[in-house]
Amino acid sequence: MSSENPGLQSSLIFPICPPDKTNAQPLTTQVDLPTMITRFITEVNTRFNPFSMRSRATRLFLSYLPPNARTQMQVNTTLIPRTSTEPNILRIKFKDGREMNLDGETLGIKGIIEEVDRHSRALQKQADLTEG
Amino acid sequence: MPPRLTCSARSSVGRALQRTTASSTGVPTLIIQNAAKTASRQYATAGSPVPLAALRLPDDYIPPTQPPSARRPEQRKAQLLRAYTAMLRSTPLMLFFQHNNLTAVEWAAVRRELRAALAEVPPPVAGPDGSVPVDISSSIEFQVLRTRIFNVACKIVDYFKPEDQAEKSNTYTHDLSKTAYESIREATVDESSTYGQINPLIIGPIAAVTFPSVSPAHLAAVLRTLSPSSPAFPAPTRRKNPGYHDPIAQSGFQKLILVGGRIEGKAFDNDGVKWVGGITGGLDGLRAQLVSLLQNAGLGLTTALEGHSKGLWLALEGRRTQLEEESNGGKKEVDAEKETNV
Repeated sequence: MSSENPGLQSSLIFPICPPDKTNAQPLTTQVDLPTMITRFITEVNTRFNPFSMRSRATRLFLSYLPPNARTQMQVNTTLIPRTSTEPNILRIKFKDGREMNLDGETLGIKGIIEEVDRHSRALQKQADLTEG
Repeated sequence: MPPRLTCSARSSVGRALQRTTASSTGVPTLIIQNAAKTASRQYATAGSPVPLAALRLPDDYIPPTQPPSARRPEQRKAQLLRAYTAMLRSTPLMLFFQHNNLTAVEWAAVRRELRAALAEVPPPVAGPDGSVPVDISSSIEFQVLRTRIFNVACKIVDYFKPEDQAEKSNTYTHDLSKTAYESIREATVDESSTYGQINPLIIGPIAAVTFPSVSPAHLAAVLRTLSPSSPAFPAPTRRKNPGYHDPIAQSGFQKLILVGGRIEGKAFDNDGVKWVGGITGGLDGLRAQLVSLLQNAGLGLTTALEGHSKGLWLALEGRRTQLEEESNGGKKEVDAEKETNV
């Protein structure tokens, strides 16, 4: 049994849960991010001050873009110096030409994803209808 | 009422130990009687004190309520916290990067290019006393941080001072202790403090480049590789370093955003980090600049002080020569008059 998973040897001395169950789960926890539809985004322009808590949602939005995002869309990021009080900017352009100017401070990351997804779903619907 | 069977062996042993130590100092007979009543059965012997050797737990004893962790040591949160506090205390220069969904191959490419760029930095020259400083380029690492734990570690480093807790007897003062936890919970975070400024940086996916000493040359090499900016820190050219322009590495670099740095315990933004990276010649270069500045100031002062006395001397000397000329001229005139008279 120990040859199956050498990392669990110590827990086998005092098995709390059956070993077959512990073997089924990976040791590292994988956090599932809520996914966002990014197929229809063509350009993302962001500007933020990393030293401000208000830039949180804008920064998190960047981390929601998938690994291959930069092949499909253009992502521009500008950083504001620490002392400046200029507002954060998050501008998203879609394939149908619509531009979204979102305010990360009031919306929060969930609000941003909701807004983007709302438009993306409409585009998805149209694309499905034209295809099918 | 029989003694509780559910109480753990550890606590009952602890209680029995307390009693035995107390009995050696205080009134023995009474306490031993008490111990006989309350301590669990197998340890209590009425009349004679409990032998300490029998109460000692074996060295490999594992309490049944706290089985050993199945996690690998480097992934345990306690270990991670200790590693981060040690890193924060010993690392004078850290750069924070936001990494947006880099794939494993991109990470490998980014780290490869970083190592290549650091290897090109010239090794440190020997000082005037003949001692060669340690070459830090092999110890500069680019690691992904667990942000929540790192945040707590930052707070502990800034707000928990073990020497302040020294007067409290019987308290642990290590970073995982209750004392540390309470002191960071009571701490009021000031916006202008280092933690107050670092705190908003540590949002989302964050990776850090850690330097074991402040070396502007190495910092410049890292900046040129990971966040190039055209005039001061240009990216390596395609001819000089083709690996840097490999598409996988490039897509990795595009996803890294330099958000700030922590230098000598203070938070620095992008411009500050670039300023430190732009110091030519490192700390010695700064010293040389300071020395030349002070020398120039001294030179200026001496010339300024000298100027007036020199001017005075020149004026007096000029007047003297003038007077001498006049007196000579007078003589000549007199001679000339004499000649005309004759």
